[in-house]
Amino acid sequence: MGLRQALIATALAVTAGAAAACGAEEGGRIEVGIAALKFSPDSVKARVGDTVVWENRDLVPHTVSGPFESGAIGVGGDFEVVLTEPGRISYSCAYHPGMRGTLTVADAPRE
Amino acid sequence: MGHRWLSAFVALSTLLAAHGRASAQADLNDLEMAHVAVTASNIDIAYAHLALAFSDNPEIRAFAETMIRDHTAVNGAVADLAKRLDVQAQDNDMSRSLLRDAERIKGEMSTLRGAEFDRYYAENELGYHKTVNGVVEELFIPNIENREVREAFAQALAIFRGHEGHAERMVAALPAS
Repeated sequence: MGLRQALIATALAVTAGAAAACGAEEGGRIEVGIAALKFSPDSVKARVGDTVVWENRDLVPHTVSGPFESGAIGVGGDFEVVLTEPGRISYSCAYHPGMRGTLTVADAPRE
Repeated sequence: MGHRWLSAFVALSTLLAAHGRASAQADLNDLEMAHVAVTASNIDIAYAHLALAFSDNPEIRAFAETMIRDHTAVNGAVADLAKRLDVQAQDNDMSRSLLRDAERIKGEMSTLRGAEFDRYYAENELGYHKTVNGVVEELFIPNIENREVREAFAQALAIFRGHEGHAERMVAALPAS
């Protein structure tokens, strides 16, 4: 293994270790962008304990409405939810009925 | 439904025909196109206020509230961009033609109530968005010189295409007349 490969391997190991530690204690953080009247990605796989953050990068206000209700998320604003139960969650924007997304939440904790 | 929203299309297409399609593209500069876009948004906001005044249909009212919210926000973004670029949108024949036509449509709309009003409003919104979106996509965006202005138009068009889809669903949900 050359020096470059060794550095990359070390960096990956450190990153994986930090992620595992973070996941075990706090859950992961998943970002969903809102732009051009779309949630992106519109389908997300997550785990109990993860935090999902919706960031409004659009020109107009939106909502994240489903089992939880964000209220109006202004331009440049965000909304976050900590996932506490497994299952499939469908959500939409109350202002724009064509905007829909899903979260598939697994029960298994992060390793 | 054709004659109602067709008038908006006629206003735009007549103007384009009068100037010649290629000529119209060349005649409108970035700032004039921005003025047309802001004018078109303001007209839609005015239609939405009529809907809130005259309609009890929850879907019509929700759509109207979204039009006011979104077009106000987009116009604000256009104003912010103009301020940053230190320019001002320029009035022009197309903007004035749109306004004249909107006055007539608002006059017609104001005489209607109940289901008649709802159908007129919903169908006009669908036709209006189709027409304006087509002009923005086919004539404006390819001819805008400033990259930031072009990107702002593209962003706004994505939103207005969403409005068009919303309007289609609104029309489809109207009770049969």
